Amino acid sequence: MKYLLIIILSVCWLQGFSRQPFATIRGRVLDSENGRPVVAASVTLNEKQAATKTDENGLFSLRVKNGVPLVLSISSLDYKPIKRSFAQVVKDTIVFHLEKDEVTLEEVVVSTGYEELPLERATGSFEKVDNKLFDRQISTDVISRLDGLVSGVQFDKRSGSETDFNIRGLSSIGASTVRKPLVVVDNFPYEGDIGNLNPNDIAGITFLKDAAAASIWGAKAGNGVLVITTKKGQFEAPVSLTANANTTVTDKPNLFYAPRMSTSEYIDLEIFLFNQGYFNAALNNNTTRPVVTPVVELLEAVRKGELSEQETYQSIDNLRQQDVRRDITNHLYRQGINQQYNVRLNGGTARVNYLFSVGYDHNKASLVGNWNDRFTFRNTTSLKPLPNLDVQIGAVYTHSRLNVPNEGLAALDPASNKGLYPYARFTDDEGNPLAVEKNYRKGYIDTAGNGRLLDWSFRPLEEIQLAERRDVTQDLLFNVNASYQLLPGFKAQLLYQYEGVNTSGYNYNSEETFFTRNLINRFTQIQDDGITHAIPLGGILDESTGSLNSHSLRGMFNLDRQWGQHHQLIALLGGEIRDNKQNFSQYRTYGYKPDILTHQTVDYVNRYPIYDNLSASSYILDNTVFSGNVDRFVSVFANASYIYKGRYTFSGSARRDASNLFGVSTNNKWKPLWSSGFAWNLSEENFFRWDALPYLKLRLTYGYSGNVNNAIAALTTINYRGISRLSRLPYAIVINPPNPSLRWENVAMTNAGLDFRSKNNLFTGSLEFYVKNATDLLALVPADMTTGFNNLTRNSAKLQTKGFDLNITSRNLSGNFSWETNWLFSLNKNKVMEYLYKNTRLSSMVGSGANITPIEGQSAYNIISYRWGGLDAQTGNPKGYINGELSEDYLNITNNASMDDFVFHGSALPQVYGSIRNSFGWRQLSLSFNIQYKLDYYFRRPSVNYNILFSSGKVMHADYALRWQQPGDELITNVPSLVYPANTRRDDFYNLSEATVEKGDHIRLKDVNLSYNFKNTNLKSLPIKNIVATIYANNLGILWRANKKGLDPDFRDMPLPRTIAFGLKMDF
Amino acid sequence: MKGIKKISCSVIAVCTLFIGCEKYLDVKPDQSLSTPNSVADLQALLDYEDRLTYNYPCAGDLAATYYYLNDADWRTRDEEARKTYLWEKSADNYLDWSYGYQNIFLANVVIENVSKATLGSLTENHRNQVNGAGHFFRGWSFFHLAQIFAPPYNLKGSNVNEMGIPLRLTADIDAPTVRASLEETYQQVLHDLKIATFYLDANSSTPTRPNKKTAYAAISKTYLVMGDYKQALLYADSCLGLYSTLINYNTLDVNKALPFELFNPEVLFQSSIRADAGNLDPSRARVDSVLYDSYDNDDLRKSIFFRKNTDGSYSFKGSYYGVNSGALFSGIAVDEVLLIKAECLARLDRKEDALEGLNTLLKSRWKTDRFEPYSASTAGEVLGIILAERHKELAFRGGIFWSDRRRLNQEAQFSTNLRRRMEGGDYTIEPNSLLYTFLIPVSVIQESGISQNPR
Repeated sequence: MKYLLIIILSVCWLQGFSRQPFATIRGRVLDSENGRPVVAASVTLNEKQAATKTDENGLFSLRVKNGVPLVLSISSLDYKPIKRSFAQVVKDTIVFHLEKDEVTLEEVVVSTGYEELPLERATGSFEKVDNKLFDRQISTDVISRLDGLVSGVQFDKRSGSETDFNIRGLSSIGASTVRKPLVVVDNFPYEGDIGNLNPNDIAGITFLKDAAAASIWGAKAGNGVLVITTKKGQFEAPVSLTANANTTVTDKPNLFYAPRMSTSEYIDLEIFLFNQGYFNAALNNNTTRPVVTPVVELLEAVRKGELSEQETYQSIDNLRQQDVRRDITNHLYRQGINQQYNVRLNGGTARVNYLFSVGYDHNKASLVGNWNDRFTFRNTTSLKPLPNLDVQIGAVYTHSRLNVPNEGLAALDPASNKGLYPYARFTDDEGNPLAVEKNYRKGYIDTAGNGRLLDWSFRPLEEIQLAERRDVTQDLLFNVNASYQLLPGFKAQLLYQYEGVNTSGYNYNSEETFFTRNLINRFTQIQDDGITHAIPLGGILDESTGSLNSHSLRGMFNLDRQWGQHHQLIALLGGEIRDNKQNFSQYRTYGYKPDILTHQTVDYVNRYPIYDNLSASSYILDNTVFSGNVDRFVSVFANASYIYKGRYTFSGSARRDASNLFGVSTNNKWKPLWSSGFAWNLSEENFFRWDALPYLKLRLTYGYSGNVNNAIAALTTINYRGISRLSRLPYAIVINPPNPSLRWENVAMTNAGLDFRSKNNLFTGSLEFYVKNATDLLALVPADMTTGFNNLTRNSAKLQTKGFDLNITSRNLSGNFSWETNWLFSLNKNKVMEYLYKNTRLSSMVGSGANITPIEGQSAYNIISYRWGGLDAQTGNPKGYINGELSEDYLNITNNASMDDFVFHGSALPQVYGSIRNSFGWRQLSLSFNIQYKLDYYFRRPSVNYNILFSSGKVMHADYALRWQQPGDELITNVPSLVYPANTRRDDFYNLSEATVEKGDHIRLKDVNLSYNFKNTNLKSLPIKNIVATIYANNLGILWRANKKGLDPDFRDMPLPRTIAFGLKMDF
Repeated sequence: MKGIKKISCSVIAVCTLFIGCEKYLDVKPDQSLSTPNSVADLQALLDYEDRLTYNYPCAGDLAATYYYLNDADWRTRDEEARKTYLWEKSADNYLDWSYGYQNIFLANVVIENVSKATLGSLTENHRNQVNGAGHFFRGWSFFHLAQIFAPPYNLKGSNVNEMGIPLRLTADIDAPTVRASLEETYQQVLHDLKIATFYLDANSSTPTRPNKKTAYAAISKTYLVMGDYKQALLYADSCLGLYSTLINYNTLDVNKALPFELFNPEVLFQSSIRADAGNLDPSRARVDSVLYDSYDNDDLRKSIFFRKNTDGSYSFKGSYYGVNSGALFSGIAVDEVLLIKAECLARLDRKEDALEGLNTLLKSRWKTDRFEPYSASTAGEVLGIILAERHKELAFRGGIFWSDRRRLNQEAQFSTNLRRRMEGGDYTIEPNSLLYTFLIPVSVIQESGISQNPR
C-alpha cells in the first residue's frame, strides 16, 4: 500500500500542470538524410522558457500559451542546430529535419531495459556495442561476438565454452549459475536459451557495469547486466530490404595439442604393470569379466603359454606405431561448416512501421554426423492508433534442431572409469570398422552364449551411423508494449511478454546399437529349454519433452519534464511481476520398432538375473523422470534523474525484489536495493574553456545490487530423487541443512568515471575507477564431518574488488586512408577482506584457483602451491617443506604444513586484460584486427599423476617421458620418478606444487576482418544500393606467451579451432 | 478531469499487480523440493538407501584376517586401504566417519520433526514407524561408529572415564562436537534402540526399513559387545520369538555364482559396508585358508560361501546381500541372532539350551542327514564350539569380525594375535592393542578440536 500512496501523491502533484489557457504544440524531429527519428534532441521554447527532449520516435510536445508567437530551437549532439518561429500554436505535428553535423559523432543511446537514455545524460557506467561493431564478427550466436569488444568484460574459456564471461570480475563465489551476468533482451530478462537469438536481429548491446546503471535490475544485477536491443522498424522510413549470407569453415580440432605419453611408453608401462601383477585381479575375475586392453590380453596369452613370446612381442611392437588420435581425427572429426542466411524487410509510414526478418542457420559440426540448424522469424510492428498512444507488437518464432549421433571421445572409454588405450584402431587396413574393447573382456564376449546372444562388441564407427539422437526446440516470444501519453511529458506504459519454449528429445537406440545389444544381453538367460529375454529384442527409445512458459508484466509511469530554464526531471516508477515455469518429463519404451511402430512391455517390478551373473540380479531401468520448476518475481522500482542547467545530473534509483525463494521466511524474501549518482558536464562550465577538449564529463555513483541464489535456503530442504535402488521407494535427500543465520549476498559498488572527447574527435573515450565490496558472500566452507556435512555453504567472506577500465578510440588518420585504434585496458584485482571461518587445514587452500581461497588480505582466486623442494637425488621423490624443513612425508605435509610451506603465486584470473583493435580504411576497403591480451595471472598445467595412470589407464601427459629415472635427472627435471604402488598423496603433492604452475600472461590475435563495400555508384545497373563482402578469421592464435611450454592458458585440453568465414551483405 | 480518470485507471492496474503477492511467492521453485514437514517426507529421507542402507563402516573389515590380499593386489589399492590392511597406526578412515555421521544427521532431522510433522493421508501408526526408524538408525549408526572409533567396551571395569564418540543428538550444524564417555556412548545406543522397539511394528514392508525384530536384535548385539549376556539373551529371544526362519542350505544351488538372493528369508534388516576401498572385492579378497579348511566337506557352507579361483585360492560368494562385490552384508540375519542366543546361554551356564540353538542352526547348514549334532561336557567347551562356529558362519559379514575380536581379546582363552605377511614383511596386531581403535579423522580433530585416540 505504501507504493500505491506514492503513486497517488505523484499523480496529484502532476495535476498541477494542466491548466488553461494553454495549448500543446507537437513536433517531430527527423534525420534529414535517412528520415529516421532523432532521439533525445533538445527542444527549447522561446529561449529557455520551457524545454523538452524528443522521445524514441523523435516526437516532442510542449505546453505553450495560446496566441503568443513562438520560437523553437532544436539541437542534438550530432546535428546542426535549427531555430524556427511560429506566429502561434500550430495544431498539426510539425516536422523538423536536422542535418548531420559532420564533425560530431553519432550520439550513443544506451538501453537499461527500462528506458533508453543518451549516454551524455547518464551518471552510471554504460558501455555500448553498436550494430556496426557487433556485425564485425560472424557467428551463429550472439554472446561469443562480444569477446574483446568491451572494457572490463572478460571471457573465460577454460571450460571450453565460448560464452562464459564476467563483467568486472566476479562478485559472487557461488555456483557458476549464480555468477553469470543477467541477460536482458529488449525489456525483460531472457529465460530461454540465448542461443535461440539470431545475431542478425540485434541492433545493439549495452553493458551495465556499475550500481547506478544496473541497480534498476535489483537482486539479479550483482554480476552486471547485458541489455540486448533488437532491430525495430522506423516511422516514415522508406521500404528497405537487406539480405546477407555467410559461410564459416572451422578447422578440425587439434587432438595433438595436449602432449601425451607415446603409445610405446604406454605399452611399456602396461608390460611393467602386468609383470607387477596389476592386472591379475581382472584377469582372474571369472564373475564380472572386467575389460582389459589388447596388450594385456597378449601378455596373458604368453604367460599361459598360448602364444609364443617372440610372435607376441612382434605384434605388440606393431601396435607401438599406432596412435588412436589419428583414427579419431580421421573418422570422428571433419571440417565444420556453418552457413547463415538472413533477409530483413522494414519500412514505415507516419502511423505504422514494421520489420520482418527471416533467418536460417545450418551448422555442420566438427564431429562427423552431428549438425544443428535454426530457423528464426521475427516481426515487430509499431502503431499509433491514437495521437497519444503508441503500441508496439513483437513476435519471434525460433525452430531449431540438434542432431548428435556422434558422442565424440566420451563414448569411447572401455569402461566408466577407464581411458581408451592409445593403440586402439577403428578400421582395419581395408577400412572395415573394427571393434574396440568395451565393458567386458574380448575373450569372454567372443564366446559368451555360444552364438545365442547378440553380438557384444563395440565398433565406434558403426555406432555413429546407427545412433539417432536429436532435439527439436520451438521458441515463441511475443510481446506488447503500449505507451500512453497522459499529459505532456508524462506517460503510462504497460509491457507484457510471453515466452513459450517446447523441446522434445528423441533418443533411439536400435537393436543394432551397442547400447541396446549390451542391455538385452545382460538381461538374457539361456537355459536348456530356451532363451528368455527380460528386455525384449528391438530398439530402446527414450523420449523427452520439456517446456518453459514465462509471463512478464510491467506497469510503469514515465515523467520527462523541463521547467524554468534550468530544471529537468526524468523519472520512472513502476512494478513488475514475472512467472517462469519449467517442466520436463522423460520416459522409455523397450522393444520399439520404428518401421512397424510396435513396442513391448517390460517388468519393472521384479529383479532379473544378469547373464552369467556378471552382476547381481537387477531391475530393468525405468527411465521415467518428471521435474518442474517455478520461479516467481515481484518487484517495485523507481528511478529518477534531475538535471540542473544541463550540466549537473543527480540520479537515484531504488528497487525492492521478492521471489519465491524456498525455505526463507517471507520477510527475507524481499530485498531492497538502491543507488545514487552524480554527473558533471565540466566542459559546459564557463571557466572550463579548452579548445583541445570540447567535451569532458565527470561521474560518480554508489549503490547496491544483489545476487539471488535459489539453491540455498535457511530451512532444512529436502529434494526427492526418484526411486531407491533396493526397495524401489521414493526417497529424498537433504540438500540444505538448517541455516538460520543465512543472509543475502550484497554488492556495494562505487564508480568514478571521466568521459572525454578531444578536438576533432582525435581521442574519445572514458576512464573509470571502481571499488566493489561484496559482503556476506556465500561460499563452501569446510565443515566438521561430525555435523553430517563435509562442506557447508555459509555467508563466509567479504571480498573487495578494485579496478579501472580505460576505453579510448583514437582516429590516427582520416581521409582517403583512415586508421582508427580502439584501446581497451582493464585492471581488476580482488582481495579477501574478512573470512569468518578459521582455516584449520592449510592444505585445503592448495589448488588451481577455481574456488575462493579464504585468506584475509590475499586474492580470492589465488593459485596456491606446496613449496617445491626439488626431487630427491636418490629416489626421484618430490620434496616439500614442513615448518621450513625439507620433507617427503606427504601425509604430514597435507595435515600439518604451516603458512611458510606454501607458495602464493597470484591470481588465477587475469588481473590486467584488454584488447587493441586497429581498423584501416582505404576507399571501399576496410581491414581490422583485434589483438587481446591477458596479463598478471597464473595457471596450473596438467602433468603426470601415476595413480590415475595406473588405475584408469588414461593416457598421461607427455611429462611422463621427463620423469626422474636415474640419479642426476633431478638436475634437469621436476617430474617425480614412477613408483609402484602409486602413492596418491605423492601424486597430489607434485601436481599441486610450485612445479606445475606457469605464468598465464599472453597476447593473442583474436580475429581479422577484411571487407569491401561495393557502393551503389558502381552498381547503377542493379537494384542494389550496397554490397559488402567480408572475410573474417577467428581464433587465430597466440602471438606471445610467458610460459615456455607452448601452452595456451585459456584452454586446458584443446584450443578453439581456427575459423574462417566469408560473408556477403546486400541492401536493396 | 479526463486526465485524472486515465491516471487513476492505470494506477489501479499497476496496483492490482501486487495484490495477493504473498501467496503468489509461496510457490515452490522446484517441485521436487520440500521442507521435511510431513511424515511422508521424513519417511522418504529414511528411504535414502545410499546412506542408511549402504556405506556402513568398513575399516574393521579391511583390517580383518578372514581374508588376505596377495602382494600384487595389495599394491593396486589406494594408500588408506593399504595402510588399514596392515594395521598401520596412521590409517585415516575418514569416510567411515563421514558416512556414519551423515546417517546420524538424517536420523536427527527425522527425530526433531516427526512429532510436529503433518500426516496427510497417513495415520498415527505411520508416524510411529518413522519415529521408531529414526531412533533405530541413530542408535545403529552410533553402534557401528563405536566399533571403529571408540575403544573396546571394558567387559570388566568401568567405562565412565573411557572416551567414546561424539553423540550428536541434534541436526543443528552449529552444535559443538564433544566426545562422550564410552559408557554414555553405549547407553545412548541402547536408549535409541529401545525407543525404536517401543514405536516400531513387528514387521516392516521391506528389509531396508527396520522393525521391532531388528531393533531387538540390534539391542542384543549391543549388550553382547558390552558383555551383558543376560540382556543380550533376553533381546535375542524377543527377536527370535517373532521370527526365526532359517534357510535350509540343501535347497540352494551350490553351483550358482550368487547362491543368495537379495532379501533372503533369513534377512531381518538389509545393510552393507562401504565397498569403495576395493580390498574386499571378490576378485581380490582371498579366503583365509585356515578358515576355509575349518569347514567340513559335508558342511554346505564350504561350497556355497566360497568359489575356487584359477590360482587355487578361494573367494567369497555367499553374501546375504546377493551381490558380487566388496559391499559385504552388514545387516541383521536370523543366524547371527541365533548364535548370540547360543553364546549367551553357554556363558550363562545353560549348556543344553546353548547346544540346541547351535545345532538348530548347523542342521540347516550341513548336507541332509550328514550332520551330527554337537555335544559337550562343559558349558566352557560349548562356548568354544559356539565361538568357532560363529567365526565360520559370520566371516565376511560386515563389522562382526572386528567387534568380536575387540570383545574376545579381553578374555585370555579367546584372545589371539592377528598376523599378516606382505611383500616379505610380517605384521602382527596383539590382543587389546591400541590399534583396535582407529584414528579419528585428522580433519575432524582439526575442525572440532576433540581429542585423538591414543597411539
